[in-house]
Amino acid sequence: MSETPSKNEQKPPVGDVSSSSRMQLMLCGGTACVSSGSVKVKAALERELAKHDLTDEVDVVVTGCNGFCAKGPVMVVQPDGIFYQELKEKDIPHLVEEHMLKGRPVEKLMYSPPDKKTAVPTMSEIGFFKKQRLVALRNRGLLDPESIDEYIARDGYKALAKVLSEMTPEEVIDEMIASGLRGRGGGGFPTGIKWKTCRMAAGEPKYVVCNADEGDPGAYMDRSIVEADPHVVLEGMAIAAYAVGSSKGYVYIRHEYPLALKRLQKAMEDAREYGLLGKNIFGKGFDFDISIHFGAGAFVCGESTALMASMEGHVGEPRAKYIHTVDHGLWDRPTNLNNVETYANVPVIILRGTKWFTSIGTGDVSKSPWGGSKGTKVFSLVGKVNNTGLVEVPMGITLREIIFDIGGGIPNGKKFKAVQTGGPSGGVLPESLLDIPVDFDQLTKVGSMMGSGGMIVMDEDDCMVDIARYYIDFLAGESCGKCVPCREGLRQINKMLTDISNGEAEEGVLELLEETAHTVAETSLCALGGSAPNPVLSTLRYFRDEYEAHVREKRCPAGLCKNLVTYSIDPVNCNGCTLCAIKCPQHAITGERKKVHTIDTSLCIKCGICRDVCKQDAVIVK
Amino acid sequence: METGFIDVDAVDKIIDRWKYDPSYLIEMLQDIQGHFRYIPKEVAQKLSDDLDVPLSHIFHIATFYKGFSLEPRGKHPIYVCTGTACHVKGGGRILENVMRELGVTKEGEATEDLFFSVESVRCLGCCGLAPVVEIDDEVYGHTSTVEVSKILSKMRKAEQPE
Repeated sequence: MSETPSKNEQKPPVGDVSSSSRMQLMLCGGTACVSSGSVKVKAALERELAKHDLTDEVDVVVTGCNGFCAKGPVMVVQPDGIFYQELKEKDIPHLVEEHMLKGRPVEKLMYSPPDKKTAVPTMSEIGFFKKQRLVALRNRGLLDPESIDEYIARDGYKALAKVLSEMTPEEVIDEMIASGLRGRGGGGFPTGIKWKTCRMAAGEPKYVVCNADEGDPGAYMDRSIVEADPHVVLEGMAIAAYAVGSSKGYVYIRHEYPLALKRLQKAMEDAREYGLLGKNIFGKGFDFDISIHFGAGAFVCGESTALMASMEGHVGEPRAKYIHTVDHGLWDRPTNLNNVETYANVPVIILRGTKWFTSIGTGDVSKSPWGGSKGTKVFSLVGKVNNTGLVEVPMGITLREIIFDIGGGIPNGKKFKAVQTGGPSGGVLPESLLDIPVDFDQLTKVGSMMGSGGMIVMDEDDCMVDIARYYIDFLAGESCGKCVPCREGLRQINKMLTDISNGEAEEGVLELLEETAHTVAETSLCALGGSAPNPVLSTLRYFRDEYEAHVREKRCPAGLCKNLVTYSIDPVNCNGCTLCAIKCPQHAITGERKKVHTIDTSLCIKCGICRDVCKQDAVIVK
Repeated sequence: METGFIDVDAVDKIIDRWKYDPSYLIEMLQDIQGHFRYIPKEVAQKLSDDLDVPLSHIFHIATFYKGFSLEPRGKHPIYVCTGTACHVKGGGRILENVMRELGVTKEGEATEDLFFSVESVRCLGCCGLAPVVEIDDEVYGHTSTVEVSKILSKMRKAEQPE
């Protein structure tokens, strides 16, 4: 989907492998599309197809997340690749009759770019998909995630068969090192090196763990991979287990992801039935099975030692990192921990080779896997951007390409202000840095980080002090409390930011803020504290004037910090519809019908409901 | 908020499901939370006795992870997402308004009649639909203060005695 057919990582969809249907309706059943109504759409499709006697000719396949979540429910009609969006139950009778029966695609259900009126019929022509390159998500939207046969039909478990029959564990490790694959959970540690260390570590048994806890707010890559293609994760884990010499794997998954869990469990059952998990896999004497552990909501469990403590049934407190989990991990045994997306990259690297993989991305990894960032990265592109969704892009693409070409720019004619990458441990980058290539090292250099792949776009209405405070508040709450710098330091930073946001801070606070942030970064026990000041330091670095306006002028330039703004009604735009007066919980708005209304600021609690309900855009917040 | 008696069978079943293995304590507590909508003190005590784990350890875990509550949640818990994407799209304001409307002063608290409880969550993983609210396992995307208020009054009406 991402490139021209010759460069494409993807094969055509398989649908039901036993079927001879002429058309497949690949309906997205990811969490976002389900909540936008794809279940009802599916029922309507089946009903209408039956009505026209098309059930044998046209298959409805519920796929995992397609990625274009903003336009859900979405459906791709194969083999033509026609893309339909925002489908509603009531659209279906017309759609089935026109397209499936008469062969006339329905233009009004297709995507049109925000600035143009003309519809774009095929998925590969849509800007959102054009610049993407699918490696980890190569099967997304192309198969039924609950069918192992479809996964196998798309070369599934072929990589596992290859390593078991043709490669020694050492060769698998060398291949991973040569590929330059680095940890997609955020750390960017070379996967092959980790496997090698784990293989060489003393102690039995060894464990292989998959981190699917995804604690970053604003990110849902792992969720989507597990929901769209659960077998790829199992296969990646099995290959890792073979390489490090383990026969037991665990998936540590968030309790809040019921659909991902269901699909994973189904995949495990099917894999066992097919002999792809369990004893003597492919008759090669390799045993491997997987169990599931649940996360209970703790960001700090993204830290490897905390995650393992949690899996053992303890609180997720990290320990000092000089003892590595590859040597002493789960139950004190050597443990290899990788993230969902990392495992999803493994089978395709084995199948297509390092030469192909290293052709994508930046730098040179021929001497050291630290020499560059190879392959792709999945980002959850969200916030103030037109095409929100999940995107997979080659390393080295610029932020501008992601936000403007794929993301379609900023909605409502607003101006781009900043983009946040790397989750709470990352930083906020201004417009002047939009042209840097996205890879592990570049993002770190400018004070942010790759992280697990959250990418939150902000426009002129977002206040940078508020964003910094948001992250610090989150991190202060998630700090496990074991070490003092993180526990107390973040609390102090939070207090300073709150004072600034309330207009109660005094001169000198910014210097103190910087000093405290550096102290927390340097003296905390684990990476949570170590990277926690990033949101503060990066916003201070790039948006210092905004902090200064809060401190010196007691003014929030973005008009967001509650204490520093007042609500009023624009007499020009107000048409006296009375809606705001009816909805105001404080009865602070008065005015006669068809006359200009006014807000009594002494009663106003700045809840913002008036602005939400006003159709005239007449509520001014300054 | 004492319930007086506790469904012992349900607790036994849960402990049995995880084979009395204390390394699955978190999973057991999740099941208990799912069944009772909170971790009742008596159940924590029973877990401590049955698994031979100190009660303090159980409370340590129950208070450490955000997924557990020591107070009863409402019949319909409302989860307002305040992940970053939802935050920049006004999730925080939705939370404030729901709390004010329901007269709940603290996150995690239930209304007096235990019909609703409200709390924030740090990302439901539907960031493309921000802002998002989840009620009874249903995700409401692209929502707003006014929208949520409508959903809540509809739910109240649907369950009002004739």
